[in-house]
Amino acid sequence: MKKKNKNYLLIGIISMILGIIISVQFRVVQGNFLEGSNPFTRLQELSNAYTTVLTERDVLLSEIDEYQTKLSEIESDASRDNILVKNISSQLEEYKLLGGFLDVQGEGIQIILDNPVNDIGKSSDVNIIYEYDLINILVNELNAAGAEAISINEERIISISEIRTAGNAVVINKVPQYPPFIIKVIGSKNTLEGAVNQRFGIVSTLREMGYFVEVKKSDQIEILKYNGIIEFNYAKTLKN
Amino acid sequence: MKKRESQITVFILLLILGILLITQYKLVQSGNKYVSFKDIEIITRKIESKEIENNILREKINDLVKQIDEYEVSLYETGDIESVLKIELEKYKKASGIDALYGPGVVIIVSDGDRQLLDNENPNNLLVHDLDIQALVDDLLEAGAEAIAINGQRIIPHLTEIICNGPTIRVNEELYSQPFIIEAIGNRKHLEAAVNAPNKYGFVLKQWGLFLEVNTSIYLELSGYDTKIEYEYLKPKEN
Repeated sequence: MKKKNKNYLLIGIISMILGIIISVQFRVVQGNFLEGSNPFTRLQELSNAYTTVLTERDVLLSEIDEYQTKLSEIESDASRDNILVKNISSQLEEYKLLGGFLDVQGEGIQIILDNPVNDIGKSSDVNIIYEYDLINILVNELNAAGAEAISINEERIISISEIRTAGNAVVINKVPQYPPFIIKVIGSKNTLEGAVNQRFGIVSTLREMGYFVEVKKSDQIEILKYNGIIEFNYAKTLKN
Repeated sequence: MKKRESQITVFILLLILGILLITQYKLVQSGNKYVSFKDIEIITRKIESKEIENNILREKINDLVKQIDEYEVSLYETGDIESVLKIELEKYKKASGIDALYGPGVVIIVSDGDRQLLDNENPNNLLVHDLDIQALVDDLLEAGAEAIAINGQRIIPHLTEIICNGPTIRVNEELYSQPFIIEAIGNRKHLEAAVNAPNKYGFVLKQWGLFLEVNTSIYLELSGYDTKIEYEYLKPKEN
């Protein structure tokens, strides 16, 4: 009889400890991760914040467009009665096209690169974010196959673009990007597709490592311009 | 008899628990659905990334406003915008990599290692490969290099390929063999650190036993990208 009571007491104490631990766990998760609200309200707050950020982005983009049309208006006004100015401004357009400062379109391919399914939260061994060099190799491979313009998640690759892991994101043109990466390429769609799909090539390497890769040919790829500002602090133009 | 009584008690308690659980669930559910932490994590990341992008866009707008001001001042003072337009042209020429540039920077010399091979070691370990050069270039770009050239051939990330070609490396459709001389214009200290810092690729290469030397220089001249660019497929987007 006495032994039985003792057992009950033990189970009671253990249950109590369990209860306390569970409630502490709940508190910690709610306090640190959800900032005091429940998961659903937190998600709603966040999606509202996301919409705000997106609208803000649209506003900023349209503002940029506005200013740019204003600029080109001034340019075309000035070039109407001055041949020299006209020459310079047409050269300017040419260099903007070369440098990646204009929206462009043409045939090409689109590559979707993503982590293996169900792998986002944990820092597993197979995470494209920590193997950014594979993205670099892919870009190099595309260049070798004659790519004329490349963008990753709408970030245009230009002459000073970096592709780099920082924290848990891949930073491209100083903007953190997360998988899935949508890589748009303009060039000969058959050559590009053949080059990346080469046997033991980059796509098959990626697939072997467990990543999700999809390559799609398209007749109409649109790539946006580089939106950052150009600042050269060290390099100066060499005059002959 | 006593056993039966306790069974009934347990039954009633469980019944109450069940009803409570259901009521609680219904209360919480009212329009809500299950949300995983993964979703929250994903959306937090998205917001973070878009906010940084917005900041860059704001900088761009400031830049544009400044430029419009300059145009207007120039129009008012001289009647045309030739001088401002020339500056603008220079800027884009520089950014497109077509112009020859000069400035301070670093010179990196990479060559095959000359140490003895270990037993059964693959000789490839001591050779310079296209991937090594590419990784060095990536490190330099990340450290803010404004212009990079390999053996005098200008590197443009959206146009240049660095590809193995037998004993040589193909850069901008030209072949180069070792030693490879990488020149980069930018902040000298940052660029030097981008090669020499532990965990950077240059540091790793040195540990493998390859020959790698970094020198800073206050004056480097890099030629422009001179491979002819002909766009076959790309067109400016029509509005």
